[in-house]
Amino acid sequence: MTQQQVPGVDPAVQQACDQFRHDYHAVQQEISKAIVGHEDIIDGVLTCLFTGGHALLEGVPGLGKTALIRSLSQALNLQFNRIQFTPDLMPADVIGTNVIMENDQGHRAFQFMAGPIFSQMLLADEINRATPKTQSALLEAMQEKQVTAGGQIRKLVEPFFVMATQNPLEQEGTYPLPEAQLDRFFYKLIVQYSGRDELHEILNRTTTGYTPQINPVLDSAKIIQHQGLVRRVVIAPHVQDYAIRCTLATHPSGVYSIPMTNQFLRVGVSPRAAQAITLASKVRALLDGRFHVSFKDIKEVAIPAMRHRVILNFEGEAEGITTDMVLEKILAETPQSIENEFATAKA
Amino acid sequence: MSRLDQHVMAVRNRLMLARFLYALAWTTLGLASCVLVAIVVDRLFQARLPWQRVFLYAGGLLAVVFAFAYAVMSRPDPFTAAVAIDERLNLKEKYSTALQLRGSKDLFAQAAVKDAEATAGRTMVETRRYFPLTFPRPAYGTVVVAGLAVAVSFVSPMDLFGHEAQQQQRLVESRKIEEAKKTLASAYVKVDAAAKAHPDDVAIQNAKKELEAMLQDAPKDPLEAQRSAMKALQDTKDAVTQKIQDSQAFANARNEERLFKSMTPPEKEEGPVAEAHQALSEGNFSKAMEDLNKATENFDKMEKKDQEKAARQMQAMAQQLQKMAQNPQAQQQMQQQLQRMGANQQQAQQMSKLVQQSAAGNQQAQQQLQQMAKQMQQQMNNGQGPTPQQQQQIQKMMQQMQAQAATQQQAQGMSKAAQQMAQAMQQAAQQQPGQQQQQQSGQQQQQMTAAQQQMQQQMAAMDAIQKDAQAQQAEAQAIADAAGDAAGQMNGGQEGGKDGGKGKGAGKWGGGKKGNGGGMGGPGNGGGMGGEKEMAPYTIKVEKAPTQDIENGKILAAMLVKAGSLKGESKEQVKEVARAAQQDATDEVDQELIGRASQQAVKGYFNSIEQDASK
Repeated sequence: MTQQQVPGVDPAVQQACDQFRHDYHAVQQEISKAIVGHEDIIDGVLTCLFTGGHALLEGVPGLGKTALIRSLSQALNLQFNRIQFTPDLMPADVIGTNVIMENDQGHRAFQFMAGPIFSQMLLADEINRATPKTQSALLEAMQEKQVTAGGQIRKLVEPFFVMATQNPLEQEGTYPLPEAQLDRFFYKLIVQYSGRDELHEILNRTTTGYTPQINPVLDSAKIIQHQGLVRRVVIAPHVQDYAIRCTLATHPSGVYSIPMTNQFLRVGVSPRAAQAITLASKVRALLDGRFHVSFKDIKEVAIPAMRHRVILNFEGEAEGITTDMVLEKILAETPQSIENEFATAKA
Repeated sequence: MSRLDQHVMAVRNRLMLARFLYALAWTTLGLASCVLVAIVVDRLFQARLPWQRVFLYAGGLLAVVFAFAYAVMSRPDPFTAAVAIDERLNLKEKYSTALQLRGSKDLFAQAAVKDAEATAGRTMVETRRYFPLTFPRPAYGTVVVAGLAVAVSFVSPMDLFGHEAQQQQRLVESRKIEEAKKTLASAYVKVDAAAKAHPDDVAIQNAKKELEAMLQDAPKDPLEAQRSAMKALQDTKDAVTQKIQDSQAFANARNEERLFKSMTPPEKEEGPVAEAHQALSEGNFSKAMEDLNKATENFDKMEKKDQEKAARQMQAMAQQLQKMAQNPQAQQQMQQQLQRMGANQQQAQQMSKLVQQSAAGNQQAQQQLQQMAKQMQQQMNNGQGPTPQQQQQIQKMMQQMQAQAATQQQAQGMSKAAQQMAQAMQQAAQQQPGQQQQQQSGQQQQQMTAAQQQMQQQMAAMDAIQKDAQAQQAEAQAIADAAGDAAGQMNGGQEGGKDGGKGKGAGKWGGGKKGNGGGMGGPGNGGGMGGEKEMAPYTIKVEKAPTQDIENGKILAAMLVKAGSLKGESKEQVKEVARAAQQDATDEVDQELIGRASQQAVKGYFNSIEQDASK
């Protein structure tokens, strides 16, 4: 899928970019066979996939979160596991445990039984129904892409991709994810209710004996290759500065904070947010056929990359302010370029 | 230069132009504000900047220069221009990224630069469309302030602190000073002329010195200057008038007028002799001479009846002249005057005779007369001699007596000539036509002509005396007119001028036949029609009595009765009384109620009283 040839550009670069777009849209197309609508959620999940990040999907039960991830796993030729988080789920249930095994000679020895985390694509379904202790079992794997059990470190197979779903926090029987856990997620995607037309389509597909045939279109090697390509996309200093200023604007009483930040936020984002924004922006740039990141890319990815990394204060909670509202305000009020301010205003 | 750079350059220039306009709007706003403030200040306080147009043009030039300098100094750099292009053309930071990454060897960076250049190649950056020059916001302020300035400029000046009034006042004062200078200069010319004519007159010389001093020091107070000028002129005029009145010629002229005006002109008579009689009674010797000349030349051409009438008229005129020359009342008046001066009856009769003889040209009588006058003066005041005032009066009276005697001598001469002329006319009128008689007629005509010439000589001498007196009086009149003008100017504007005009025809007795009175100008002095009054045989000085208002009305006159002081009942110290008296005298001196010559004397007198009282 060649979009347009730019004269003078290295053909290998051009070809790699074209291939990326092609594969991206191919996966997107396969998922859309099973999932109706939720294009932004699919984009978000795929962005996480190609940047090597993990996605957290939040929504009320029955909106297709699990189905989306399952469809993605089918479209990718990756090892897929699913863990249904429940309150009695133990960390060992996630990462595995050493058990005594007797061999043919009758000797008994401890042997590590790998848990479901040892996969390339892990669906942590309803992650906030497990206790924080169990939730924390994912931390090392998500960040280090390795598991330490019984004193032994076990590397996970690349690419490793965790997609977690959670119900809204206010529902009963849920345990909020700790901040450290949340920070490991590249994106937090809010799954909204489907619209009227989408529901028509959903009903048509699910109540008529229609069985979607999803074919794997991408394997591990290509995903890793694409992840490398994404990181090669350039970002100009002034654009990167904008991303940084947006993240700094979430810090209460910070230099770039806006009044709403100071009023309603208790904790701002970590540097991981800036990393996530930059990488996600690069994916957007590639998909747009560019070799560089623009302000628009930053704006498009900033909210899902930062919404789970900021914490409202009591006033914000009491006022019914959401993190998205604060972040939208920050994006609206943070100037794209400080140097450009004057020229733009006067011209 | 790549197309991308061209675009960036064009936008840089465009942005610089926009900044120039923006800065120009601010600088012109400042300029308009300054102009507004200047106009408001002008309207409120009448404080006006000098060279307003120069300031305005210089301000406009400075506004443009400042705006241009600001635009050049703050000209956007290429990166800023590239960011602006990206934003306006929605190029997703292609230009700005390309400028940032141009030197990079990274393939993706190079690809980004190539992509930007390719985009520039197919993009038309229309600066007018994407970077329109909008009307700068501060320019609205400039328009509003400029409008206000124009509106305020139509507001009538208020002059809150009276600057304009002060300026006008200064202008008026400077004009007054100029006028005062002119008045002083004009007065000086007249006084100087009078001073040259009368070098021994102290009053005139003092007036001249005072005017010189005032001319050397620029007059600060125009009223004071004009007052001084007027006073100097008045003093000069008084002095000149006094000189004239003191002169023998003036006395002779006065006596002539008085004497001849006592003649009774023929009533309802016609003819040149009657007209000559009429002219003589009016003191018009020139006309009388013309008429007599006419009568003599035309006598032969007259009818007999008219010749007899002319002879009769001439006879009457001769009788009147004779009567006038031998007027015993004049001699009696002269004797009475001498007696009032202290002479006894015998001395008065003798002096009267000597005056008559002296007037007839008798030198010995003249010497005797002077000797008698000296003796009489020595006998005055119980042998102590006359006071200067009495001496002046005696001298004046002697002049008048001599003038009167001289006039009577002339009248006597004219009477004789008129008698001869009348006889010649009568004889000529009684002759019958014939050859022999024609010869007699020629002799009579010669006699008539000789008598007429004798009369004419007498009249010409008297006319000369009168003209001389008139010339002297004209000199005094000119000085008086100048004083009147000065007074008019001092009283200010037209009002003062009007009063001064009134002063011309008012005041003292009319001077000469023109009927122009001398008089001081200014309010309260004179009543307008005084010029038509008959000339008085003596000089008077009109003064307005100072009046005082009390509860019962106005005090027109008061009588002070001197009584002996009551010793020991005085509540005031002598020193205090002396000081009060000195203060009153000083006030009067300051108010110029006391003559210049007496001022020092008055001051000295009261100073001595106070010093005595202090002891």
